[in-house]
Parts: sequence; structure tokens; C-alpha cells
Amino acid sequence: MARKSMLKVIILGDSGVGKTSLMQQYVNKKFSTQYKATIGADFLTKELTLDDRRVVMQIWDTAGQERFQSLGVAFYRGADCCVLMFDVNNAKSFEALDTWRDEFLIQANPTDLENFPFVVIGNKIDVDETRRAVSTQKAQRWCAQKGNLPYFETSAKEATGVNQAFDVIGRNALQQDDVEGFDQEYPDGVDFSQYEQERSDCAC
Amino acid sequence: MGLVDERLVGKGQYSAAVYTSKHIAVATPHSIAGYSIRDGVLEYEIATPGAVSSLVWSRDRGMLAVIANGRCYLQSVKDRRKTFDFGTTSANSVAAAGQYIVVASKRRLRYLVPGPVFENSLRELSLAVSMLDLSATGKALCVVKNNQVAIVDLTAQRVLQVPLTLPEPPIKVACFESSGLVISGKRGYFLTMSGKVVAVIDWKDTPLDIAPIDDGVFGVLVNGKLEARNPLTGYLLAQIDCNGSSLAKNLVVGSEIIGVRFHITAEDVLSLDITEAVPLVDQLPEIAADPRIRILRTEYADTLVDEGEISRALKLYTVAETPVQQVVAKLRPIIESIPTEESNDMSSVFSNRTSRTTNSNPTVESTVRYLVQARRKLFILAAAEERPVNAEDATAVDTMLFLCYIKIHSPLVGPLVRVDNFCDVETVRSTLLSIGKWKELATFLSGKGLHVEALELLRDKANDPQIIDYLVRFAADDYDLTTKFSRGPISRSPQLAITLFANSKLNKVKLNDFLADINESLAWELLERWIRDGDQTSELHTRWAIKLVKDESPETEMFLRQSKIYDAKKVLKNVTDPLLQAILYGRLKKHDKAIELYITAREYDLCEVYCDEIYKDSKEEGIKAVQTLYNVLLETNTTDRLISLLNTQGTRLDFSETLEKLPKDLPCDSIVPFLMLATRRLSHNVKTSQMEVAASKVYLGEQAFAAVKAAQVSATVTSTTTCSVCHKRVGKSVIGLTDHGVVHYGCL
Repeated sequence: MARKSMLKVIILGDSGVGKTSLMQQYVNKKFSTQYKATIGADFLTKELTLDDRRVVMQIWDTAGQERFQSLGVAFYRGADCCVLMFDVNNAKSFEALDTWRDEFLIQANPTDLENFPFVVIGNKIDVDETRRAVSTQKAQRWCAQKGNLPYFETSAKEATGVNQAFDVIGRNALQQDDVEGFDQEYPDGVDFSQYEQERSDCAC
Repeated sequence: MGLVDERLVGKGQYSAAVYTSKHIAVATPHSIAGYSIRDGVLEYEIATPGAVSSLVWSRDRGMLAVIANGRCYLQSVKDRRKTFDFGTTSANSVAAAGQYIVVASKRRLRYLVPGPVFENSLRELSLAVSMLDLSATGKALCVVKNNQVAIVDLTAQRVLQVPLTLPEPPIKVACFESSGLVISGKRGYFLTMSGKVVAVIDWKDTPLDIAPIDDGVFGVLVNGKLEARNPLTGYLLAQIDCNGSSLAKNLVVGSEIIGVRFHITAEDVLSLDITEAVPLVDQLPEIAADPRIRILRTEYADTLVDEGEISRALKLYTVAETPVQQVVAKLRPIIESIPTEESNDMSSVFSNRTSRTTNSNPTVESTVRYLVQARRKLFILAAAEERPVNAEDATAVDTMLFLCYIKIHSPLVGPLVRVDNFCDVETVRSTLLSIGKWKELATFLSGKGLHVEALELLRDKANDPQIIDYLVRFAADDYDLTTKFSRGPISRSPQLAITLFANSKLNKVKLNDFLADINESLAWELLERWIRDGDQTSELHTRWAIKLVKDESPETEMFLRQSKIYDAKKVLKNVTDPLLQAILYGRLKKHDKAIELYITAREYDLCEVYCDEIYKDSKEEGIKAVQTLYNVLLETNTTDRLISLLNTQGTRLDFSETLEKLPKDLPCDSIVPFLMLATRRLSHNVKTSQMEVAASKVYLGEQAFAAVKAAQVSATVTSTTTCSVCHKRVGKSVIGLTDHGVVHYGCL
């Protein structure tokens, strides 16, 4: 088994679209109908195996009520994947995706903008179809315009599509993690091995 | 500025000493003695396995790290039985920082990682270590084999070799979080914990010992003096006469223990040369907030900028909290002098894709990081203080960020101009125009509400659909702007009008006029679409009705009947067809005329339906309408229709008047339904009247009975009769009679 990677995933979107619920459903298989606004940011971790590789996904949930400025640059630094989330029954939350994406790019300043993995999730598909405000086609068109971003429709309440979405999120984050990994090396570091001696020697 | 000494413990044979939380722990030949800091009273004595050569206090673990006879162990001072042995027999040095405790033993570095003290919390590296010290961040400064210096990052598990070979023994090391000191013979090397040697000092005599004292100064015990030196420059800040053989933090140890404190004030720092003063401030957070120190740091940062050390300068500006406008003003010429990257197809309002090409420039990269951080702070401060963002600061930051992106990271110009930003309009305009980025400029201008300028730009540069797209998205509620800039595109591509106006909230009458001026059929197409989509503008319905009438459209009659909001008077002027006229007169509530026209048009059924509809709306009007129709039919001598009317709506007519007007030759059997209905209605009227009479009689009877009953009510009042309400005597008061008896009139 290869080394264990830590993948940092950030979920962004308007207040009330279900970011916390989605995260709770994926990690803890729990759903609560009570709405409780997230303050600042919080994260949960989940260990999973992707193609024989053990990874720990650190999923950061953010407060959608405030804009990016409330969150530190460090919060975005090192993100391996950004999930843009909206409520399919709330057109405004869909229209806000552009701003969330732009703000993320400014704050995170990724080296390769085009290939940074975004995943789009339309949540609350369990709600009555007549209340739906954003069609699948419309969301897919937006994703296509932005560079064929993966799009998933989910119900955090009924656990529909959640695992499938996070499977892709994990894989895309893993790819990003591999790419970014080289930049995180200490350039002046001296390899430990040149100082190491056989452990069997008695050095005391 | 200076060192202050204080004798703390009586004379004795001491090999080491260290402050703990409440005591000074002193190593005597066979024990560790703890003297109270407050009064110098001996409070504990712990036996050691031999002479103590090194004593270190781990504040985070609350334990002493002791080396005695080559054995290193942790010793709790609260519970003497609580110890932890590192398993070494030849330890020569121990250091502690945070929860890390590291022991150097011959060639090995054995250390305890943060967390509970267990056997498996120990880690070990083979490094041929002879001496070490440890920084608070878990970086061990070590002297390794061949008198080389290495910095071991215990967290990252990496070793950084310092390009330094120590010429001669004895060798000693000490370190802070970000700086270290290595003594080799009479020479001292001051270095950063990233391995860079920043100063070299040569003493006349060999220093006996070194250690960090207070929070930010290295102490060097040399030639009977304790010197305090700036860790980042080696500069001698102060010294005192002091006899001692070894030095622990704030303690000089010899035949007596002397406590030392290093006092430095903002004035002391300001009296130093700036290159000495600023690094010293980094070690002295308590004076960093002094406004004069902030100015000093800013001045030094300015110097660093001039020397091209932008990253360091920005860090200093940040800690000095230098106003962002000042920082930006200093950096702007430098950023502007950097060549702009090759032109890229940047993202814009028209294409949200971002291009991948970016250049790398450390100066700009550092500046971007600083600006993004500053931008965030501005917004946080404004939100916390519930006030608008400081526009001048935000303008300086965003404009500079824009310039930086232009230089090395042009794909981010798109996101920046799309989000709410404070970029200076003139700078953005001139910059983007000069490099031909008109799409980004249009996006930016739209965000600033400068739609006229944006559209003028698009008129010159963009294609028709792009202009229309802009109008739909940003100027949908501005009639003048929309019509001004859409005229050209719509003239060339009429279908763009559908995109632009199909769901428009602008005044549609004006829009219809505007479109008619460009393309009449297009105007009608959109007008029809608006009406079908449910528009309820009277004028539009009127125009459409007239259009249908003039075109003699088969849909005319249906539209005139279905629409309720057109101006019938206006439409009527264009209509010659009697049926359509009848509909319009009906809409004008001129029922007589309408009925007459229906009959003229020989639309008898429609006329009857019309009368029926009127009746349903207003009974009175309906009766009049039927009567009118009856009269018209009599005049026009249309017997069949007359019979039909009588048999269907005859009951709405006045019976006797109708019978009187009936043509003499009308066969009675043809109007049997009418007669039956009329008879039934008359019978019903008679019965209703009879019932009313009977009911009235009953009522009269009831009233008469009540009157008789009332007349029979009486009571006898004597001198003892009391009011049944207030229970007082009635006496000669006016009284009333109730079901409960006699009461005062006032008590009723």
C-alpha cells in the first residue's frame, strides 16, 4: 500500500445550500432537518481508499453567510479541490457560483488556474420538483462553460449522489495533491539518509 | 538598556541551575535542590545517580531533564517517583522546547515527541551528535561529526546542513526559534535557523558558556563578564561583571547562582543603528507596539525594498502594521517596472475560462500574497466595526493587485474584475486598453456601473451578440441605454431583439415604438410574444387588436372577446364588420347598439349568449338587454328568433308587457315553454305572497300575546320591600320590575 495522503477539500456556497449537511451525510451518515448556521469554518476528516491508495480527506465546511474575506488566506492555501455548491431550488445560490469561484481563485492563487479541480454540486433534489429553480441542463451548461467541471446532483437528506460526488472529489483532489506535492519540498533540505547509520550499531 | 543581576542562592558547589515554575533547581554534587524563588528557602532535594552535568526545565511537561553520569532522564519535582529514562549511558547534552525533549548521546539524537510520555514516544536518529540545542519550533541545532553544524527539523524529519566547519573546540550551541549561536574556540557564529550565518564575532578569550537569556538575547559568559548580544546581528547590547562557569537561561552558575534579567526599552532600541534595532525588536514583542518602533520598522522595510528584499520587507511591513497605502506607494514603481507577461486570452464576462499561462516573479508573488492578506483584513475590520470598507485603502490594495496580476498572473485579472473590487478606474482602463484587453475592461466597467463607457467599448470591439448579452445582463432596466446600443445590432440581426426584449421589464409600449422604427414586423412579432406571455398593458392589447382588425385576421374575433384590457373605443374606429362592432360596443357597455349590430349581422345565437352574459354580470342590465333584444326582434319581424328568445330567456321579461307586444299571429303552441315558465313564476309569486301574509299574521299574534303578558305583570311594594339588586329598602324610589322582583330604577 502506498503512502497516506492528506487531501484538503473546501466546500463553498451560499448560506443554507446544505454544505454542512452534505459533509455530515458523507462523513457521519447523519442528517438533521434543523438549520444551524456555521460560524467561521469547520472540518471533518474521512479516511478512504482510492485505487489502492489510502487517503485522508479533510473536508472544510465554511460559513456561507459571509463572504471570503472572513476566512484567512491560510484557509485556502493548500486546497486540493474546491466544491462549489448550490441549492437546485434557489436560483440565487446558483448565480452566486461565479462569485464564489472568482473569490476562491483570488484568495487561493493556485499556480495552474485552468487545471485546478472544482466540482459543482446541486443539492436538495429531494424537494418537490415543482419548486426546482435550476434545471440540470442549466447547471451542466454552466459547468461546461467553466471548463467541463464535474457536476453532481445530491440530496444530503436522502443520501442521494453523495458518495458518487465525493468519490470524484477525492480522485480529483488526489491528482492535484500529486501535482502540488513537488512545490512543498524544502529546497535547501539535505537528505536525512546521508547522516543515518545502521540502527544495529551501538552508538551509546 | 542593560543587564541586572541578583544573587539568588548561597555559596556552594554548583554544576548547573535552572528556573522552574516556583523554584530554582540547583545541581549539587549528588542531588538537585529546589530553592523557592520567593524567599530562597530550600523546599526539596532529589538525589541523583551521580554528578549532574546538565539540567534543563521543560515547562510544557513540568519536568526536569537531567544528565547525571551520562544517563539522561526526566524527573518530576512534584512526584519524585515519576521519572522517565531516555536509556542513554553517554548523554552529553539535553535540550527542551515545547513538549520536545532531545538528548545527544555520542552519535545519536534521541528525542521525545509531543504527547504523553511513553516508551514509544521516543524517536531516534543517528547523526554523530556532540552538542545540541533546541528551538521552540522543534528544530534542533546540533554539531555533528567532523565539526559540522546541522539543523534537524524534528517535525519535518529533515536535516539542514549549515555551510560551516568549526575550526576548534570547545564547541557550544544555543538557539531561539529563528536564530542560533555556535561557539567554536574564541569565535562565535550567529546564524538563522534556516542555516544562514549572519554574523561572526571573535573574542579575546574563549567563552565559557552561552545561553539564551530573557526572550530575545544571547548571553555569552566570557572573560569574567556576561555579555548580552543581539541574536540576529551579534551586536553587543550590554554586559555586566559576572564570575561564573556556566550559563542557563537567566542564571549564571558558578560557586554561587546569580539571576540576570535583561531590560530593554523602546528608547534603547531607537538609540541603536537601524540595522541593529529592527532585528532586536523581533525578539521583543512587548515594545513592538510602540508607534516609534512601528515607524522604525517601516523605515527599515523601506530600506529592504530599496535593496530588493521585497519578501522580507513585506513581512516587516505586516508586523509593523504599516498603512497599506504607504506600502503600495513604495512598491508600485517596482511592480510597474517589471515587464508584463505575454498577452494571454484572459477570462472575462464573455468567457469565464481562465488561461493557464502565468509567469513567476518572486517580487510580484510576494506582493500578491501581501495584498490578498491586506484585502481580507480590510474587509474583516470593516465588518467587525460595522462600517464600510475604507475605500482609499481598498483602492490602493485592489489596484496594486490588479497590476501584479497583469505582470505575472493575467488569468486572475478576470476573477478580480468580476468580483466586487475597488480598483482605480483610470489605472485599469489605461492598462487594459494598452494591452488590448477590452473584454476584461468591459467587465470591469460594468462592475463599476460605467455602462455607457463599457458599451461604447463593446460597440467598437465586440460583435452584436456580445453587445446584446451585455445589455441583457447589466443594463436591462435602462431604456435609454438599451435602445441606444441595441439599435445597431438589432438592425443587422433582428432576432437579437427577441433575446434582448422577450423578457424585458422596460416600458414595452416605448419598446414597441422603438422596434417599429427599426423593423415593423419584428415589432409585431415581439408584441404578439409579450401578449401571449401574459403582458397586461392596455396599449399593447389595443395595438394588437387594431393590427388584427386591419389584417382581417381570423384571430380577431377571438382576441376581441378574450382580451379584457384593450381600448375598445380606439379599436372601434378601425372596425367596419358589424359582428366585431357588436363585440366592441358590448365592451363599451352600449348593449342596445351591440344587440342591434348582432341582429344586423344575423348573429342571433351570439346575441342571445351576449344577453345571457350581461344578465349573469348584472341582473338589471340583463333584463334590459333581453327586453331590448325582444323589441328589436319584434321590429325586425324575426319570428323564429323571437320564439327562441321567449322560450329561453322569456322569464327575464316583464310578463304582461311581453304578452301585450306579442304578434297576434304568433302560434301559442310555439311559446308553450315560455308560457309554462311564466305561469310557474306567477304561481310562485302568489305562493310566496301567501306565505308572507301568513308569517306576518303569526308575528302579529306573538306581539299581541307579549303585550297582554306585559300588562299582567305587577308587584306589591311595602315599607319593608327591598331592592333585589342592592338589597336596600325601596322606600319611595322609582322602581322597575324584573324577573327577580322589584329593583331600584337606578339598579336596573
